[in-house]
Amino acid sequence: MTGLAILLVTAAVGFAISQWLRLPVIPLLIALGVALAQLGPEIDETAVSQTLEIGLAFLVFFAGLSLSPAHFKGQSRAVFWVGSVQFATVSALGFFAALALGFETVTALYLGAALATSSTLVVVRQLFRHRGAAGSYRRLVTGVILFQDVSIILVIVLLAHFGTGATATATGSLAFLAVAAVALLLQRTLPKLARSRRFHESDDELVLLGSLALLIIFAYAAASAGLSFAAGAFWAGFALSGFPLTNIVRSVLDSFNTFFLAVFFAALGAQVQLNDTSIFIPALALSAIVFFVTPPLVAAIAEWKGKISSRSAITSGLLLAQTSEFSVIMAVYGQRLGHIDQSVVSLVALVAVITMTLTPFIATPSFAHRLFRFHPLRKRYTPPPDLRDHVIILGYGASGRYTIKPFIEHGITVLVVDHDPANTERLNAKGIHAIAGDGGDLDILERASAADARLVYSALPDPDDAVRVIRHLHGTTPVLARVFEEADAEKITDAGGTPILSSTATTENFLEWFEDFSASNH
Amino acid sequence: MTDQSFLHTLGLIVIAAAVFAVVASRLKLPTIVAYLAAGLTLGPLTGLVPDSDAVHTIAESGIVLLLFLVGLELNIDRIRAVGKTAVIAGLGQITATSIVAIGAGKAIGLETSPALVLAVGLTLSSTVVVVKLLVERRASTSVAGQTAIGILLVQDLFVIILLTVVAGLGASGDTEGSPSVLGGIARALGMMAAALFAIVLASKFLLPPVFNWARRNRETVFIASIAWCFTVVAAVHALHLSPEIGAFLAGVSLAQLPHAHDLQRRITPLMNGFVAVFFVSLGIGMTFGTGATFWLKATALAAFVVVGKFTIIMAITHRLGYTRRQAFDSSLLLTQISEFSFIFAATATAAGLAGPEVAALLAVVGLITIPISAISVRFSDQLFANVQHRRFLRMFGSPGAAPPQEPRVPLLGGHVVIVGMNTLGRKLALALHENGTTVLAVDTDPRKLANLPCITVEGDAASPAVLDETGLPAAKLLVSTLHIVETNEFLAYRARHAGIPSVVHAPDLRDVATLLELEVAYLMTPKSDTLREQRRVLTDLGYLERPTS
Repeated sequence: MTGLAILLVTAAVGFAISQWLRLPVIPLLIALGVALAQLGPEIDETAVSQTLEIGLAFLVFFAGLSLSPAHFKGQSRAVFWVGSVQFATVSALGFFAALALGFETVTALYLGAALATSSTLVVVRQLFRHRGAAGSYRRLVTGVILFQDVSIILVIVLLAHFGTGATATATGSLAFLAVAAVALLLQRTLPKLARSRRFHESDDELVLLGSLALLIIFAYAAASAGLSFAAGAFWAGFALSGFPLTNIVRSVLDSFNTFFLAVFFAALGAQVQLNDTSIFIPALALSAIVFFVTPPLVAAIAEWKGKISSRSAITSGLLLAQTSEFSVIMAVYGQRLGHIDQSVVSLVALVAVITMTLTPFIATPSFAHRLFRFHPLRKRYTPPPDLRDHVIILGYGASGRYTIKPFIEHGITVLVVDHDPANTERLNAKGIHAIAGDGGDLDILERASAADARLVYSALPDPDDAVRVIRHLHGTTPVLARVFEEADAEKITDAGGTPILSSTATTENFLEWFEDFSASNH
Repeated sequence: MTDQSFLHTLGLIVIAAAVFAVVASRLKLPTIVAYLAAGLTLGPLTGLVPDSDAVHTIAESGIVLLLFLVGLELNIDRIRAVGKTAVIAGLGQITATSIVAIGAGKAIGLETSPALVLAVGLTLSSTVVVVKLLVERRASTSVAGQTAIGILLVQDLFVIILLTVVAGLGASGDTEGSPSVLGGIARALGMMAAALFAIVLASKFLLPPVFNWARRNRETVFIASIAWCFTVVAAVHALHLSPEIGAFLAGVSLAQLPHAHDLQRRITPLMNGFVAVFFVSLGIGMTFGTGATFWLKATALAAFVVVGKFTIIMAITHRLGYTRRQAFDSSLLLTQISEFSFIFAATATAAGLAGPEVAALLAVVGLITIPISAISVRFSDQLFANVQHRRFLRMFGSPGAAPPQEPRVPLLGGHVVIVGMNTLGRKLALALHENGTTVLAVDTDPRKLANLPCITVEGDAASPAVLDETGLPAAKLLVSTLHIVETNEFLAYRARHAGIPSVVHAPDLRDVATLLELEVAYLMTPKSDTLREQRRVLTDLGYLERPTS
């Protein structure tokens, strides 16, 4: 009990610092765990090992639970491309780098896979902080992370059979596929059961026990088929990931997830040994691979296959430049199997701490904007026609067709800037001026002869982009910007633009509908 | 894996608990009965799981979280309403029950000191069972619920003092020295006073600023609260007081803070999971005597607990001014013995005050009375309707004073639930409120709920407990302004299931098809909604005039 209390207090301090300094919580938890083991009171060994044991199974389960293909609908091709190329390239580079640093083959395999996976928790938080801007790449990025999660679980399974011979590996893979097939079957069928009346009358307690029981049954099934406990837990989570089952289960298990996340990483930190200073150089070298390989690689493929703007692609790359809680979990698991020793676990944890801590500073739209000038393809935009007194529309998307309508009706020349070449080509075919590019790119404004335009209309998702455009044109051309939040409208006004508050319009439309609705209900 | 047996034991416990809980829910039995049955099956009946310390921490964490919740729900006004009655009823119940129980012990042929131990065991009622039942029935804030909790607290203090004394007796080699007994009592009371003082200081000066700051992030506040709970438990443990008292005090110290309610909702599932492990392991650890006389004695004692305790508490609370129903419910809740009874019997046996027979008898009494009380509380409405006009209840006479008031539950109906207080949510809430519609606003961030004239609920709308609190089935409409499509889909699904029309925000026009499949009544699409506004602004500012030249 005292051991748990110490871990919880450590975790609480971690969460508080994370909130205060706006840093991701996982590296802080690990770091505080390390500090605790070095300076703090003696913690009960069994408390730590039991926490790691249950926490491991639960966190993997919860990851599986959140894995719904619905999260990246419409982007699955891009997700597959970005995910597979990124995972293969980074893990291969990590593997060879580890060999070059003098690690053994098995250890190098673990390190390679550890580098290739990005952190769901860190990325989701970062996406939330920039939620205004994240519309276009959110699905791609979360999809890629889910792809990586599945890949690393596969790696864990394969590594569990490492050195047991080809037959054992083959049977292991078959067993893995069998468990996966059962999980897939359940994933498809369980949501139908969940729609039954009886399920809805059953309370949270049954949902809780039922899902935990499924977790354990899967884990046992996996273990008796010679697979890892964690693989079973993951597929159990996946079995429950269909809509609306996943939402129901996640809402009940949410507090478990926070609880285990907190104590697991604090306990993990308490096991890391930093007395061995020889891990610092490899940690920096491996972190460098994550920072310098992942962003350009992801950005290039995301822009090519994902139909998102160059800047969104760069941000996506930056967002994925850290290692994952799964990297650490995999390392702990490898240590339990006797494949790698404690110092490698410490190394993986240290890389996670370094890379995760930096993410909030580099994965921001404004940093992506600064990197943008290094984009090699930036000069290849279609040169715009020479225009005067035209209206520039930044961002077309699904509603752009309605946006340009009033201008065209009034015989005003329109020039659209949109990141999707498919959109601009279609517009060009209709005889409407359109250039493919990023509306937030200030150079594009020059090419669109913004100084001679009568108006710039910004439908860009990130209000900061609109502010930048307004500042750039500083009074030469009026700018209208569509925003959702009142705070953003103020930003636009302060910069000298005219905001159009979409939430006001929606409120008016809603109230009209509500009047009819109330009338017909009486 | 370092400790395979630990995971193995835990796994079996969870699976058995789940299977039995499903069966129990079909039979409309309380889950406590299911968990005890699961424990008996795994332990005494099949021997699949040995009684071990492996899951001890989890079981104990369950009790700690449960008592923490009890403390969190304790409300100053409620204490004023029921505090006096609880103390009088608690002390009266202890005195009356133990006197009768000593007689009963003598009657079944026990010596004086084992009879005393048995009497203490029979006097105590189970906080864990009662609170679990109250949470299940959402009746923790009712007069009966708070009274029962008050009586249980008096009992807890009583048993802690006794435990200290008995453990001291065991240590001092069973010498009947009155100085050591008095010293033990004094020490226990002193420790308790010290703990109470420290808690009061913390809740006055330390906790409010810390938690008001932490409140901005739900996870920080959640982990910080649990950390506080376990810290107090560990500190109190160092003073040789029970973890239950520590957890309860930790809960009380946070109860008056504004986030207490959301915290309760979030801790409840965690507590449910851990407490299930506690009850199952309680079942696993049961040992019974053999022979017909043993079972006969045990059954007689169980009957005494159910009937005797009920009558005693009913008489006292009714006399103190409770309505017949309030007194009936308070008494029904307490008709079982406690896990403390087992702990006390074990300590007393170790101190040489009683033979193993007493502990075995108490185990059976617990096994009989806990399910009986759970089932009778579950069906208390029917029971009360049946006995209401019988002579049995009438013999308690009419109450002596005005009965305490039940807490008022705000009646919701025909209201509009709005989830997500971003700019859109606030505008909708204010506009609807102004035209006379009852609005209930939901958000996870307390700052976004500030300064709203309507009813507000702080919490995550995707969680069933929060959605329950919004009174969705009686609502006129559910509106979600959230940007997260997955949550909007889920809310639309929940609303459809409750038969309530829903309106959701579709920030991305690509999601429209999925949302329409969920039969939403109206979709809010700000991007296309803006077009009219845009046309107006453009016309007003003259941007739509034909180009000259």
